[in-house]
Amino acid sequence: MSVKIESWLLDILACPQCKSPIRLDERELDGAADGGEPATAAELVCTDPACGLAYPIRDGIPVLLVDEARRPGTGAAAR
Amino acid sequence: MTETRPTDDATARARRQWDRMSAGYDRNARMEHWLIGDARARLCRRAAGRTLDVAVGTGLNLPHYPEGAAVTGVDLSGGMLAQARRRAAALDRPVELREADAQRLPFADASFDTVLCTLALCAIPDQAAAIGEMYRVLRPGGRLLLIDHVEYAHPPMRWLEPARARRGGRPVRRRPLRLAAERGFAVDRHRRLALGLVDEVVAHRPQHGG
Repeated sequence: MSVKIESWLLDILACPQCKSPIRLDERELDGAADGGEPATAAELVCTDPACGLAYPIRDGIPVLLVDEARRPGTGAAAR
Repeated sequence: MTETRPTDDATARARRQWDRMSAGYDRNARMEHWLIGDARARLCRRAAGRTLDVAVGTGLNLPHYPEGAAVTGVDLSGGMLAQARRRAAALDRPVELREADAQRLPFADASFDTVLCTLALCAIPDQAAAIGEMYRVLRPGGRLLLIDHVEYAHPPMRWLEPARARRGGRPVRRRPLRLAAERGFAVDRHRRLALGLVDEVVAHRPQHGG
């Protein structure tokens, strides 16, 4: 499912941890070999490299909670 | 990498509690009307422009916003937000929903023209932090609209406070009016509802101020 967030809504989002701007990171998942539309996963990622927390979008609702965020480069939650 | 500050236990507990309560929450609506009458509608009518509903819950405010208000709702509980989304769809009322902590709002400074919080501040462990965040995300000149339970200052209700604090695991609540004024909001109007148990506050962030 592709995620659409209007640009002004994305512009006002900030990382709850460090208040830096956030960008939408959408990437194709592997395993779309059955010919169907490639599945995508979207996250909202803090643009500050020192923080870099990645927030999930669940059922179309961004979850901007530090406890639910993924640390960059790992699958682990921040906590 | 900066160290992340984990959410405090009281906030984590509140999140689980609201998830559990989300399905049956609207049964309180009749009781609420008896307490505060049409205060919710009266306050929501004042919302204009980019509007943030802090602790939107099941979306009880949604029917009352003017057409022109572009509403974003945040709540700590995904269960509550699922209810809010259903209500918004039934009303055909567009709303942007975000799962977020009122004490750490995920918005840039000065993002909103109106910030509204109804009957939720009292459930937030650090109320001063939440008011500070509301101030931060509101543009200078932007409007703050609050309805909330006050700390019960006089007997017999005063005697309920220790039990309420124990049950909620939260600090004794303070007057929303005083919290807003302490943070630097200019208070435009204040009313007491429900025999003084609930405060209604209309305030704004001054054009100049920290």
